[in-house]
Amino acid sequence: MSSVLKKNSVIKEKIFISDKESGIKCYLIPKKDYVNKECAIVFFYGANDMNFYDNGKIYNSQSGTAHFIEHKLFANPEGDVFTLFSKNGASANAFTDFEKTVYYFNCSENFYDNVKILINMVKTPYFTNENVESEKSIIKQEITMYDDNADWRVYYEMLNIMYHNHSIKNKIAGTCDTVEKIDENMLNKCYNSFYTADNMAVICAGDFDENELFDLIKNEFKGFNSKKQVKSVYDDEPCDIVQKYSMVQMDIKETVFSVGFKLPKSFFESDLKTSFALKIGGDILFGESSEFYENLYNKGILKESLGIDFVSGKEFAFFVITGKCENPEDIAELIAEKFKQVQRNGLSSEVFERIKEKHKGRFIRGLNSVDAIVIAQINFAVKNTDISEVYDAISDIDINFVSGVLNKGFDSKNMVLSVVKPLE
Amino acid sequence: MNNIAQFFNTNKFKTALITIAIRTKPEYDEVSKNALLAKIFSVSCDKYRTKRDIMERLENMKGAVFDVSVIKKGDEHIILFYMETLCIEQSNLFEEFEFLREIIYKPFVNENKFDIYVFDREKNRLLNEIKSKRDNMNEYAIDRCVEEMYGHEGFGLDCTGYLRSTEKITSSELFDYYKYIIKNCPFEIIVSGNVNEEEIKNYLRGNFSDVIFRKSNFNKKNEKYRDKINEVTEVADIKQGKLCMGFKTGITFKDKEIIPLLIFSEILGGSADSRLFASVREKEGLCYYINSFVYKFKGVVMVQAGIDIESYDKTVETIETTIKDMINNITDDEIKSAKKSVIKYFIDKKDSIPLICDSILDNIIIDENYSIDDYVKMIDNCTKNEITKVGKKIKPDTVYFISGRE
Repeated sequence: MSSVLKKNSVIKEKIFISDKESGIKCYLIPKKDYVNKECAIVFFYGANDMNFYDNGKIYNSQSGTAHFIEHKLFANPEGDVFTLFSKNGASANAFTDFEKTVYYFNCSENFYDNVKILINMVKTPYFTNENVESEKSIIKQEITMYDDNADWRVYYEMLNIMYHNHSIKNKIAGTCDTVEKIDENMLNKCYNSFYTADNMAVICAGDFDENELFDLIKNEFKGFNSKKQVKSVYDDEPCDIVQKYSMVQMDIKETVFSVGFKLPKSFFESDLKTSFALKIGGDILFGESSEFYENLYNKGILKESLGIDFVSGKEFAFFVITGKCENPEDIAELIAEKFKQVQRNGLSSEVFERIKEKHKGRFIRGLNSVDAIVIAQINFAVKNTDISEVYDAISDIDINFVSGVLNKGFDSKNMVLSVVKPLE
Repeated sequence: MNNIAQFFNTNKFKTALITIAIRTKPEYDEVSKNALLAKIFSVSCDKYRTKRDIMERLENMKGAVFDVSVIKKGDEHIILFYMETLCIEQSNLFEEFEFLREIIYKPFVNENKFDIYVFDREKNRLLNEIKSKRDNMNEYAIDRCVEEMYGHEGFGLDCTGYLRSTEKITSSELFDYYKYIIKNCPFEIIVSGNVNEEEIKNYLRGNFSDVIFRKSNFNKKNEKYRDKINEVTEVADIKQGKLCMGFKTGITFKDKEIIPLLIFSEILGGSADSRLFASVREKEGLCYYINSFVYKFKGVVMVQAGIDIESYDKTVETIETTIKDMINNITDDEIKSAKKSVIKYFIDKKDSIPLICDSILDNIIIDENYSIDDYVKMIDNCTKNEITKVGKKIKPDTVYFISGRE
């Protein structure tokens, strides 16, 4: 298996990337002197991939299928794979989001053995009628746990009023009803369609020999599903929002809100530079050193910093600002005005430089942790890039580029406000 | 530990970290003062009077991370200053120490009172934080359980403070308290990263010279036990009930028995492979999550679970029988796996600059000098006998349950 070694001498990190002919895409980041080693396998199949082409026809799976598969892959005829990992001193976990499912573990010993366990686990699904039925009650309890969480609720209500048809409005774990309808056949169909060699990547970070590791991964994945990965289908989604406002009540003490901007096509599947530019732009406008935040903080209207995020993927992109305050309707107006103001007057170059340096610094700080490196690289892998490109990508961003991305798509007509208030 | 600072020199990381711990043993009213001070420290000082000034200064230090919080280690409440900056080449961290000096020694005061705008605003923020603790039901259940177990002293006190005592604090009272702790409480300075130790020590001798070494003893209180479990239920508008069950052992982090206790808890409920997971979740289907953990300074074992409201009695019963059944039939395999996990918990600290500093602080508090490798040895050498013996010491004390409405 041949690989490419990329280095960045500023941040003093290396990454080994396997090339196409080896079959399995690998990103290996050596971290000398670290005790912890982490390995993640990501499949580019997530909650949004509900409907897809299967032999010329469109197959519709239930909402929550990707997440169900994530749960069930840990099952094994001999018992739970968690036990195997545990015996080998590894702590394993998994998660599903809009566009991917990730299985990972970290350990300080028996790394290669644990890599084999992980690979074999994802290669050998074991879905039976019985184990599928019993998992349903566990997943329903997980769904209930999320339903009681105000941060999840405010987020999903926001997606609901932003999107007419796109599968992103469905909860990742599904609902109790949709989960009830999932069966062994559906799980097998989706697994076989999306868990393919060309639809995944392996990412490892830690103190290991990258050549040995490459060979091991390639060997273990021999014969893995070489079917060509299917194409997901998304319902037509108009560019406008569904409605501007949603309010629900829950047993909480503080009102939480999410302001979302539904962004146009040019933001779908954004590259690294655009993603970072939006993070920098958001920080300049609404971060803890911004005039916007200072005003509201001094008046006691905002008590904690705002959460600022940009999410983009296949046929969707949105920008979200979350926070807590008594009157989110006022904040939403101020946010819309702030964008207008910046679109008119531009950004201060002194502030831009300072915030840009901050983001470079924070990125470098992230390289301290094997886990943070793996999670970051997983997200870069989705965009077909890697950590060695990031520092340069951020450095390349200039003030005009940031102004440019803030100029399109941030309008009050594509802005929604989702609010979760306390009960009376 | 008679040094002006503790160092952990390493060039493994991309950052350096300074932590400064002010160690207090507060009375009930003083906890809120600690919490309010921490808030004020984190947003202003005489040189950087507004939060925005502070944030700009930090951003100009390449995105340095600065925070002030209050944490508990056993009965001690610690006001912790955290300052982490980019540090790849060797540094003396003068800029960072200067910043901390401004924050700690030169607060923004007028006429022996904290600036009234800062004071009022931060007081409101703290009141808000106390009121909304309940919004995080999982953590709230745990905190309430601890409060029920220990009452309003030491470990039982909430670092976030209390509503009524916070409301009563005046800005001149708080300034008096500030002067008191600066003069009397032990300060511990811990530095980690690629740092020039000598230069830093010289700097500290010149600029933090009034930090006299004031010994604080690790007091072991005699543990109080109940004859009958204290059950407390609270009702909320939620679908899934939150349960927290607390057990006492009388063991502290200074005792060698803490090691077998950590192993016992790991087998009991440390992972998806544990006894509680198997009995409460997999076998009885009572919960989505269940786990146990140890407050190591107090030897308290906590079990938390998310359960359906109707399952309360069965869950409490199953937890108790799981522990009882476990004591006399722990398998060698279980011990082997659990040891690996607990070792991993300690070894992982080597890869984390905040956890390295935190371990050093732990050592200072218990007045020992155990390295991470020392802990690994102790875990390796632990016998089944020791684990069983410690299991017998686990006494149920309190169950705190947040139930949904019928």
